[in-house]
Amino acid sequence: MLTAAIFVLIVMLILSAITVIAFSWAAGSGQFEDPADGARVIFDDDEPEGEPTDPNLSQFSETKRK
Amino acid sequence: MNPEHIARSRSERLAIDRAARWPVGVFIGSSIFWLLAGSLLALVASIKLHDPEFIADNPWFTFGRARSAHLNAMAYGWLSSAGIGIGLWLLSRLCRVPIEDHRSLTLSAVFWNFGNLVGVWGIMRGDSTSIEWLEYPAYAAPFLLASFAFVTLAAFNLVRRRAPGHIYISQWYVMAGFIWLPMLYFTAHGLLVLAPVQAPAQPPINWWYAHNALGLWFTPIGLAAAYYLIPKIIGKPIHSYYLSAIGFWSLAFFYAWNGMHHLIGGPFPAFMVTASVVASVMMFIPVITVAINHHMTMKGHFRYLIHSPTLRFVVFGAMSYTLVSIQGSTMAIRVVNEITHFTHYTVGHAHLGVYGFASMVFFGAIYYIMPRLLATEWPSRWLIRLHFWPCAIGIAIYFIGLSVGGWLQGLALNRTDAPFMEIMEATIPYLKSRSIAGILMTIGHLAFGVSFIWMILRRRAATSETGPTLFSLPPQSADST
Repeated sequence: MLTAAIFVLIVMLILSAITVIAFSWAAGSGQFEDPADGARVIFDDDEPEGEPTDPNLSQFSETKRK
Repeated sequence: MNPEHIARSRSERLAIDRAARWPVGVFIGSSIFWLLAGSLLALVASIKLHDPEFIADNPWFTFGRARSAHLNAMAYGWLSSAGIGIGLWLLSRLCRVPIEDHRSLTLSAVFWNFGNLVGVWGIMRGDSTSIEWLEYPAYAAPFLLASFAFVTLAAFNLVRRRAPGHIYISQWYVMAGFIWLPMLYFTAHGLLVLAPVQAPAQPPINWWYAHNALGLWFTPIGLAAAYYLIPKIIGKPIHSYYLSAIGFWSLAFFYAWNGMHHLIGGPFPAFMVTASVVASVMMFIPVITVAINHHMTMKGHFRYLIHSPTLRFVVFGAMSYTLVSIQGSTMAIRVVNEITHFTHYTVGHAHLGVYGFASMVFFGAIYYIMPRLLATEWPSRWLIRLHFWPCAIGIAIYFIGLSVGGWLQGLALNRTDAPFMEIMEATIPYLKSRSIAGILMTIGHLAFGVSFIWMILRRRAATSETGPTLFSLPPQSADST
């Protein structure tokens, strides 16, 4: 029982530590600095902001339809 | 815009989708097999509750086995396989690097399916561990754990090679899910099945695991998909990226406390249960951030729901997420729990979460991912309609039926003068409505399966002549791009 309790405690501490480390890394490396820009990383030159992707079949082929 | 840049980002994206074709495709394909198998098991279990003589002479299909086989086939076969596939694809897209580990991921898919096959077979032959959410016998777990190790390694490999720059919220969710599930599963399986701890300590571990499997595995993948697909499809960044970060980190820090609310009234130290009730109510914070974000992003773009199958499934899922989470927080409050505990109300709640939210988002994600992996369109918009409507109506009937029936059942059970048999009989109409809902959902799943197989066999090249498979073509059509 004691072994199990120690095991659970260690797992919980590792999980919490990972979260804390990940959070402080994120804060330290500027992940929270520019939220407005961060939201735009899913767009690129080919699928730019303002252009819906679902009705746009051209994205399956190498040459873009105009 | 510079055409060279456009061509470069296009070929980059096509290369990423091409590299994901096999690993992601195999996980998604096998998930659909498990979805169908799980649906049939669900029907067997559901019908038995109001018609106990249904397949009563076969021990493999007694209620205890069919119900557990259904839960595990759905949780590990359908949702987890689809979740792994969707998560890997999202991660690859967002890290902007193609998946490299084809061999280990293929092996992983084989192990994962074999583990599920052995597990379901084990449950049905009577080897269930009888621990909810961990019913797979001990001999099935090594396959699942080995398989997931490969998945997590592949995910780390993607993150390590990621393109520099901002880490998008979906990346955080997927990566977190890929770390959390194996740790949760390993811990719970170890302490409950391999080397069981003393009996009084088992329920807290059991519910810590079972609730975290929902909130720290299915939820992250579902939200990651919604946070990527909704803005991507309508072409507009999410409303408040700041809120999404608060949502993720409050989930990461506090969700793991929630599980003990399943044990309200049980013989456990009161502080454990109370801490869990507090954490459950705190879940309002991440839920409201997600709800505000998805609603405000969609605002002004709801007309896309008429056209895009993916968006319709994902938005349905996102709305269910808000509903199920708020409902869950209220159910953790003691006065409500006194009524809903041990009734069909809880079952309705669980299905709104894993089906109305997670499964619907995953369906939507699969409708978006598969055409891009195969450079092929879905064969028929009618089949997609036949998938969406029976499933949407089915889960609505399911949820309303069991919520009303379960609530009345709970009120009656709390009255000391009500005869038990009468209470049971009063639930039968609601249980029948559940079977009808289950039949509807199974029809939807069959349409989905047919659609998927037809798509792979036909491999119709996506061309400008055929057009994308949308519910209806938007008025400005693709030519306006």
